Amino acid sequence: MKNSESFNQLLKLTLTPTVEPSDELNQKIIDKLKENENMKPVSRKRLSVALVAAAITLTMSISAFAACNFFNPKQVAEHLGDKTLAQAFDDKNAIEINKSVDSGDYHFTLHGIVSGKDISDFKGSAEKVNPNRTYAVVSIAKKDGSKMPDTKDDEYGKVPFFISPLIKGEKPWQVNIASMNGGYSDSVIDGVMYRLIECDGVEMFADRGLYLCISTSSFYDIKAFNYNEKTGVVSLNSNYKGANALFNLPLNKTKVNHEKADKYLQELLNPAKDSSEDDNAQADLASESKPFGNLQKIL
Amino acid sequence: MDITDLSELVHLHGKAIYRFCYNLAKNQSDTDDLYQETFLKAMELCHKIEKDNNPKAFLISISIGLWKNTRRKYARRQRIAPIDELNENVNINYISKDESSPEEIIISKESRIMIQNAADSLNDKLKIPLYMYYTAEMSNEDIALALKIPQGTVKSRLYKARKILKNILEREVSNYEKF
Repeated sequence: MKNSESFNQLLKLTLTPTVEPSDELNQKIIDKLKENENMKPVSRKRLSVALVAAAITLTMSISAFAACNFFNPKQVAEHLGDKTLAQAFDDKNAIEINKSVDSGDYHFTLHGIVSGKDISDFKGSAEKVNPNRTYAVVSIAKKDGSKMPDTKDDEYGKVPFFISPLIKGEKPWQVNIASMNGGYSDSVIDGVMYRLIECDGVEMFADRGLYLCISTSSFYDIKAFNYNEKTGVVSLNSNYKGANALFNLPLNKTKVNHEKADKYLQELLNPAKDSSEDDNAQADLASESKPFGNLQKIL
Repeated sequence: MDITDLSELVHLHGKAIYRFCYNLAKNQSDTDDLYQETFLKAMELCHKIEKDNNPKAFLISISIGLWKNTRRKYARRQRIAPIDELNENVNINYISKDESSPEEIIISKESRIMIQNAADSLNDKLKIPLYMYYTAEMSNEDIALALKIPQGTVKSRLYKARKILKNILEREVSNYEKF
């Protein structure tokens, strides 16, 4: 014990455990680092973005500035763990929109939309009914810069948002995400809520005119939008007490299929006797999700 | 520093940081958590980490901060999950006067556990520099940098820690010889 060097050596040996991080743990960390790097907002220039946002808010209600400080649809899909959908949003068939609208306390941005078969890792019974699906990413931010409640917070969901594609010429209270086997996933990142919605594919209606509506309601709210039964045009009700927004969906008209579209609407609006397979699929849908939400199960 | 650099640090300093975390957390599960959280926190702060300015010290300081934040959790688990990790290869002949015998091996293990327990019982001001020095193999200068204290204070704390441990060990060995 008199030899301080020996005592040092003893301490060194005693206080150095033989444990080591496993290769798997190290790889997991490296993967997470890379993953988080990919999830960084496209731009960190918060000040300049804020200035741009302020300027645009003053001059116009609809703008295309949003892409610079929000996550893009691919990143949102990745964040939700859907790699196949992330790839689909990166594909040439995906449509980047990046249009924003301010309404009430909120800043809504429609980022992008993509349609197709087997473009998601998460398949539910809705695919049995119609394998062609449409996915869109919308972000919701507070106009005053405060954060949207996280999905784990008690405040989450207290202000509901109904986001749905609408088809020109079809009564929006009849044909919307709820009736089109729809679902959604919410994720709040850096105080901005991102909603990934999905429903039966709507590209077949591209030539008729399509909208994407947003309202602070749980279901389609007839007070939020006007529907002209003669022209089939949906418009925003500017007197709506909540927040509302309406975007045009510029879908690919080469995917139009009148025959398929008519058949789809006929089945949707007249849910008579379908095949037993469809019955089973519908039953699955009814049992697994309340108004819509096969994706909610994933979260 | 970017994410690639940080990933390199996992390989470069991972072992030392993991062992340091282990000495704080005392079981593998909590060590894995603390180790992982250290790098994830480092990712948030990577703009503050300079590649050429002792990133290991920075990472260790993150581990300490995280451990202090979750001390209660770790302490609670430690009570119900005692240390059972033993290093069979530890060479402690220098505390034995003669060739190792089965009896002396038992003493060695006991001594080792005794030192570990004694080190664990030190207060944070002494224990953390001790683990930084011996487990993470950091210099006095690096410890001072990570803990944001003068080097003289580091030396003083290490001296006190060693003295306490030495006294405990001598007392225990003396008791054993009497027995």
